[in-house]
Amino acid sequence: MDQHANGTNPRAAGRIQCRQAQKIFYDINRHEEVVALQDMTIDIDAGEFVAVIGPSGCGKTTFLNIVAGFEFQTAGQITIDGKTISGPGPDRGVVFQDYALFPWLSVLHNVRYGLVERGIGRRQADETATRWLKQVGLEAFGNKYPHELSGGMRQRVALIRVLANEPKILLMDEPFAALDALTRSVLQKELLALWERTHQTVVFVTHNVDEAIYLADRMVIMSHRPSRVKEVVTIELERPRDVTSDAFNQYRRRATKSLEVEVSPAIN
Amino acid sequence: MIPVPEEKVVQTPGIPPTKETIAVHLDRRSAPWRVRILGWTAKLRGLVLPIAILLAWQLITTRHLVEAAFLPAPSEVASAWWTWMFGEPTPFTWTQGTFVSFSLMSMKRVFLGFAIGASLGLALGIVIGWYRVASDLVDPLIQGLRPIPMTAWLPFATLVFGVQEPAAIYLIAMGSFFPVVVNTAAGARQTPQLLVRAALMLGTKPYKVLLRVVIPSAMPSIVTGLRLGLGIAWVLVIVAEMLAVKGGLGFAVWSAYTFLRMDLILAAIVTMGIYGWTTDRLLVLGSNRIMRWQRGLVSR
Repeated sequence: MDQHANGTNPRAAGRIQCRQAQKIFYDINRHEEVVALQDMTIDIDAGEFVAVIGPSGCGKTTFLNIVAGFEFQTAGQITIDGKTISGPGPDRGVVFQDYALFPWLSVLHNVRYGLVERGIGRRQADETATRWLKQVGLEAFGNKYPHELSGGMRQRVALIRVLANEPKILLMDEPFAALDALTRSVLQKELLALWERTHQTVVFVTHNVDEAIYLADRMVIMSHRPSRVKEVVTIELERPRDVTSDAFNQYRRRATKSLEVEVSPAIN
Repeated sequence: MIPVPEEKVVQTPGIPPTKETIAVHLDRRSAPWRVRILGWTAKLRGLVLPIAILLAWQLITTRHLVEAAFLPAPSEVASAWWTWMFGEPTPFTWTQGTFVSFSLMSMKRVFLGFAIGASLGLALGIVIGWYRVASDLVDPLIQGLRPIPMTAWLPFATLVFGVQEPAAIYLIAMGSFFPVVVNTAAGARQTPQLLVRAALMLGTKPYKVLLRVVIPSAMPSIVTGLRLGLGIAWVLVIVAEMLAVKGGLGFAVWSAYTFLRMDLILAAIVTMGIYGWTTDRLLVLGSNRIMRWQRGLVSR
């Protein structure tokens, strides 16, 4: 990978370096500090698909929010292609669990939103947006409003709304967690198909072991308290991956074991 | 043994996926005729009570159950109304041929006052709903002034502006300002943070967030505020015309009272109802056009 990315080649850009990042909130009601992220150190290469997995409250979403620019770390350093993060921007597309589509805009206008905001003419933006809608089989739904769509369709729209912006990094915060199992597996396949063509850096937060192993190049397992990287597992399986294979099962067993240790103290 | 079908979940981009795409939205216009007739009968039901009341009223008066001076028959009201509309205007009385000019006077006051009050309320409501400092500064004052009944401002307004047009406009503007500002602020305050984040990560400049996210997201509340404000504007125009200005429907109803003309009082009251209803409908129709994404929420 190109370590001296200058931004001209999008495929060479999108390297995330995170050094001992820490995030502490102050709870005004309880007058106490809440450690959302203790010590996060990870390097993510440009074009890499990384799944971040861990128990609830382990700080995986906080990490994503910091990379997205929605929140700032209280200590440590996070850089993207060597630059510190100063706020959210179209170079980092975020797919939220709750879709976050604009309910007052039609599906087409949602997809073209980022393009128009970046100053691309409406006509051309419409063309691009329509092309993306075709990619996910939703070209007939351009004039609908988000509330008229099913959860799976909404998440497709949310995904291509971000991809249309050609971000160098794709940040996904449990994007398929609210969907039923069938829709979820279909969307996982679609995501991989799209990613294999564009190859952005992907940070995919999930609490689903199967999803992480199915999708990612590397799986970052986080510990609960203190919330830090516990283990990084490289998944050396050819795509498309067979979730019923022995090799897949070995990864599953290992990850589940590692995670169970983290969850049980949280329960007891 | 039942043959196991080959797995065919191959989902490539470009091919419509799974069952969920079949979720079709049933549009009103494409609804079959039976559904439409059902819709119409539901609307006709709303006419049952008004017609019944009108019939009862006619019956009571023709049987002389009440003295005619207290309750004129609907036909007498209609005839007084007719004279008020199309009678030969004379300089001695307003009861002939002044209906159109009186109506226009009232409408002009309502629209002018409402336009001023609503636009101020909108602008200020967005600002105090979104900016914490503005809210801390202005909100206590607004909340403190709001409980004062608008009619209590009438003597104040007439002393400041005289028995003239500005007194009425001031009163109406102030009356419609409060519901608009309060509802707009509430709507802006409730802007989902998630949508703000979504806009920012898609490239919206921070100074445009207000325009792109806060205002559209507050739209349902804004419309509620506008409807309340318009209703109050009609109330206050009548009050102002009774006391603070000459001419208009409020003047007519008060003057009719001093001459004990119950027929004209009733004609004026019904007129106000029709105007208030019509302007509210227009507002709702207009907002439904902007808010197709939320059809039904504010239409009733």
